[in-house]
Amino acid sequence: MKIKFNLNGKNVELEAPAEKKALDILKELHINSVRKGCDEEGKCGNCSILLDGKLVNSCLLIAPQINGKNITTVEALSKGGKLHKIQQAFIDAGIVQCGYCTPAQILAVKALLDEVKKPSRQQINDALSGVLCRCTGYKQIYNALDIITKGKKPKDFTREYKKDYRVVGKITEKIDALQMVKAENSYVEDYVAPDALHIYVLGSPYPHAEIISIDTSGAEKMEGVEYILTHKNSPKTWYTQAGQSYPEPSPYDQQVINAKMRFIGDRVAAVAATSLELAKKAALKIKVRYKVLKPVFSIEEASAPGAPVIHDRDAKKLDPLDVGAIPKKNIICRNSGGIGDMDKGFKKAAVIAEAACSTPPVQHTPMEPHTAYAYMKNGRLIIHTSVQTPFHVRRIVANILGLAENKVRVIKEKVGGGFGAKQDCGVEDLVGTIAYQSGRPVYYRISRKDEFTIRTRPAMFMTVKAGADKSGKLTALSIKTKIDSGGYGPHALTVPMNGCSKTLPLFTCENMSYEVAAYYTNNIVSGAYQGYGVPQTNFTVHIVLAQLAQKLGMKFEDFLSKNLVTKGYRIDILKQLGEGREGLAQKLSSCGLQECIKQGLKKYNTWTNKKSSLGDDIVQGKGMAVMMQGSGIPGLDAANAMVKMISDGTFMLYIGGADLGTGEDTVAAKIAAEELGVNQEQIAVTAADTDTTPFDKGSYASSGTFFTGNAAYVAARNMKKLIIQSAANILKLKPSQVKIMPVGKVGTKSKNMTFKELALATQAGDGAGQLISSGAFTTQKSPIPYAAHFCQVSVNKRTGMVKVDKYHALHDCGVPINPDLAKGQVYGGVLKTIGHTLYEGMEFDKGGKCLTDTFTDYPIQNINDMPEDFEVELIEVADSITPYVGKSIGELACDGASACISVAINNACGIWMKHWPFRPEKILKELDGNGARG
Amino acid sequence: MEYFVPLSLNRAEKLKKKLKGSFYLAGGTMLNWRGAPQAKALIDLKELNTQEIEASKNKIIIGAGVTIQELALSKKVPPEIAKAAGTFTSINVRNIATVGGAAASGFFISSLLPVFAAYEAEVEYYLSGKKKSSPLAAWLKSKKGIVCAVTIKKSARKVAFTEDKIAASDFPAIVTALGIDLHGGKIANAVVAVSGAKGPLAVSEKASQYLNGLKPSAVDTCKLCAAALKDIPAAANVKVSARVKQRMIESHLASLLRKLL
Ligand SMILES: Cc1cc2nc3c(=O)[nH]c(=O)nc-3n(C[C@H](O)[C@H](O)[C@H](O)COP(=O)(O)OP(=O)(O)OC[C@H]3O[C@@H](n4cnc5c(N)ncnc54)[C@H](O)[C@@H]3O)c2cc1C
Ligand code: FES
Ligand code: FES
Repeated sequence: MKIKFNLNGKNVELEAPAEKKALDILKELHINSVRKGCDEEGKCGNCSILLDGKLVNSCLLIAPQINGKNITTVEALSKGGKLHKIQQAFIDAGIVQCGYCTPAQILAVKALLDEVKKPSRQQINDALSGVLCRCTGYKQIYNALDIITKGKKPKDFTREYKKDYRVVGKITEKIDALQMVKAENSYVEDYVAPDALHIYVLGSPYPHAEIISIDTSGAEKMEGVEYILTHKNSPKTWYTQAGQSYPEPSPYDQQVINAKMRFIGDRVAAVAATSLELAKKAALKIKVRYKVLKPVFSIEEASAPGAPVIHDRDAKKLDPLDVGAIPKKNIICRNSGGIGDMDKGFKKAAVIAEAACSTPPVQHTPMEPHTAYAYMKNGRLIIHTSVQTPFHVRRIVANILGLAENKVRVIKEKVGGGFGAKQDCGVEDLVGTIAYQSGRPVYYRISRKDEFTIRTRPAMFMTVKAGADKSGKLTALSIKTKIDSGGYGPHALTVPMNGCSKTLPLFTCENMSYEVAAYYTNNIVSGAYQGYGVPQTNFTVHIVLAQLAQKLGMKFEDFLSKNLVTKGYRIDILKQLGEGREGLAQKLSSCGLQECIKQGLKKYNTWTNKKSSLGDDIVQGKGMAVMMQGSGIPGLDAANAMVKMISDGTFMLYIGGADLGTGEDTVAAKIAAEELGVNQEQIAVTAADTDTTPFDKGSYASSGTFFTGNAAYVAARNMKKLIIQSAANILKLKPSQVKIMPVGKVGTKSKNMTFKELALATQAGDGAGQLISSGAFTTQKSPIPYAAHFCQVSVNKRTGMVKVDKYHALHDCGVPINPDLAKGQVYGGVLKTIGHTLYEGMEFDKGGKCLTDTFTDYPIQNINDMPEDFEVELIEVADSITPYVGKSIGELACDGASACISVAINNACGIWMKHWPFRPEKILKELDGNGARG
Repeated sequence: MEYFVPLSLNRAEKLKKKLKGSFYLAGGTMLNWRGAPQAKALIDLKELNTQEIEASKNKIIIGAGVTIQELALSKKVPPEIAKAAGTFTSINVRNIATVGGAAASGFFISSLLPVFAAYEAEVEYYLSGKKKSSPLAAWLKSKKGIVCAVTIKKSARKVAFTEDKIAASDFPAIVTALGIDLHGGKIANAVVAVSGAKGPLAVSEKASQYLNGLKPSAVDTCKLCAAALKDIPAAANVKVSARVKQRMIESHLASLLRKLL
């Protein structure tokens, strides 16, 4: 049918089938801002448009429903290079993280402000209720509204740090926020050429099976089907998809397409065709005969004598590190160790407590699903992808295809949320192989349904036992963890090991032990998730410690304070916790934990709990938790940077680090600007392109700010030396006399030159050449970030519903380099973890099929889920490692919510919730057992 | 897929009869959900002039084409109806979804139907060439014809509702509404309506029988809950067990009684 509509002020007339979605029509008109986050479920709102001024989901409308209408998208808001005030306010308030949801949020605010001049909190919540964001925790949206409607300034919400610095610690614009608020080309989907083939993956219907035969001839005959990959023509290289530094502590247990299926959805075949619909139709024509094998769905089944063997490979021959694998027993890895003498420790204890807790698989749900686009150019394989680890991806893909690494280029585009989901080479292996073998450009966007099952956080089972003497001093602490890694083993050791290496070192206890093991099952594959195994383990540790405090009749905060590490403490247990290698014991160079607790308690101590009264089922309780993470892995991680002075005296900064929206590029730019005596605007960043930027291990393990930031620092420091040397030569001064004078000058008070003059002079025909510096950052020490979280919850004893009323998070993040973005990450991490704790959790039927692979069955938080009183405070703590020690933020933010919510629930009604998620039925069961339901 | 915009109810009905596998299209939030509509043909009701809310002396007529958001903002409908409309998952959906669609969609949960039922709403519909009217709960059993409007009598009826959601972006787990008249200090025409227990609407006869004729001060919450739960069996879903749903109904009824009596 013919439809006409007005799009952003221009009349459009086109032919479209009646059933065509407005979303697809707009995409074809190059409207980037409509983003498909939930595959047309109407839930994510990332595809929002204004239809005659009203906010609607373009995925829920078909062609005739936009006929004759006015459509406004974010693309129309900025005029002549000037941003709309809402776009500017989003940047100023530091709301923009990955930016995938940002255009929709901006439109939601526009629709609201077009109706109401000074909206209330309730009106704001309602207006934003339909746009899901997994990064920001929503809180700073109120700040943007206050900037617009009350003339407030960013500094009214976020304090600035580091008085003696000009750029670091100050509120500045996120370096890439502009392109997000304008919806310029940013994500992989924005760059796909019209002739690209689309991939559909045929997944295994069986959790455990061997392919006996596969016949693709029917599919191949279909016009438009260009290539089909099956185990027959798949490369035979064994590898791990885990995006970790080589040699990885993950097993080499897969090929691009295996002949054996190990979970429902495992790749059977991948069809590349001229459209996704066609690829899907063709995939259904593929005839496969399976030998169905007995599946195992739990660790108990997997470790039972005579259990079906899921992988029978020779681990010693294939795996890059010996992590204790026994594939024949379905064991992926094992590790154990400790310090002191556990028997002695428990003997010394006046009280002992023990808890066995479990957590189910949970999903990262980045708003942008995994996407990659690959093609061949001049004999090289080029991959544009949404990934956290471009350099690892280059190494893995080159290895799979038997290519030299310089024949593969990986370009990380903007990533619409990662959270660990995109740490792995989860789609690039397939896309790269098809592009290489077919010679055609190919694009793969995983469906939301598949996104749910491509990678999850593993199901984890923790047993923690601890003892304390009469004074409340811990005498022994042991952690035993098992994880169900599913059909393959990426990160199978890292997840449980982190659970131990980021909890045990919180305490000064002299006797500590750990034991971890990971198992193959025929469940979906697990991997990294923001926090690795720390949120789960820290939750279990807190239950046990809170029980000890209760047994001793001590306040929990007093008990904790007696046992926590302080600055200068030597953490010996870290030597043991090295993931298949020896770890590094570390003397604490800084620790802001006590300050976080002290500040947090000030407010926490004023919160009073409402107790149940007649006819009212609701009781309140409060709890607190402490936590730590790392800032990358010392002795293993590495980052590099390069700085070029260009001819007007401004700089290009090249970093390998992969910004996931968390602001890594901005951190690097700020540090470089501070060091070079210029403003942030004088630094432009090119990042995460394996051809043009230097090596960086990628964004995971909380390493971005510390590693990439400090690589930028070293490169800038080296550039500073070059500037001083060159200026001294030109100005005929001694280098020792010459100083950099902000902004953008060098020399002495009386004899100096601008950077522009210096650049022109060095780059002239008779000059010494362009100033180019590089910097590498590796370290044996990494600063440990700490935090204390406090919450108050309401429990409805009749229905089992739990609500978080108040949540305060105080973080020692070293030097808060980017304060507003840092706070935004904490809000986002906390809100997500509240979801994990209370209701998120993947469910499977008896045959291993996922029952929660949509946002209807697996709801995530919207703005109305925010605690009424939700505060984040950053505590500045100096550390001697470098002048710019920004400790990590993002992962740590996830480590406390379930711990402090479980303590608070106990405080409210006396029950211990030991198994995530604390859905109402589980609460009722505990209340029944406890006789606590009044 | 074929697409039609009939200009009369009669024409719409004829088209529907003629085109096998066709559907009436209102806002499309259900028909266009999760991919392209699975229909042979769509018969768009947009020209059938049902997009108004009319309030006369005795009744309020809510046109089937009124969007849920228009209902949420309307001053013409009782505040409790506007409030119920406002609890719909998100404004993005409310701006498109319609009252007619809410009545006819048969979706597993409804934010509106219990409140409509508590107001003893009627459905005006067009069937076999005629406009007809039927009590909501009765019409829902057959769901025949084209919904033209939902009507509510203007009266001093007291109605309240409440709901529980696992997460704010989720569909409600349970919506419970209670409607009563007070005649001579006694409860009359009581309606206890629940959505989500098992299907979009369940109305408890036993709860009405229990309440009718009682003085408000004589109502025993436990007895009311017991009566309601006898009529309204709850079925578990992946997030909420049957027991939790029952407890939600109990909790809702207790708070609704506190609110209304
Ligand atoms: C993301 C999302 C969130 C939702 N949240 C909620 C919620 O919180 N609460 C809630 O109650 N519902 C919710 N719904 C359900 C849905 O939006 C409602 O049922 C809605 O009112 C349907 O209206 P519509 O106009 O979009 O219907 P349509 O999709 O156009 O039609 C739905 C069905 O009703 C029929 N129909 C429509 N109008 C008429 C008519 N006048 N006469 C006869 N048949 C008709 C159609 O043929 C079709 O079978 C949600 C849906 C989505 C997608
Ligand atoms: S894709 Fe439209 S709401 Fe998610
Ligand atoms: S910033 Fe909202 S989804 Fe990432």
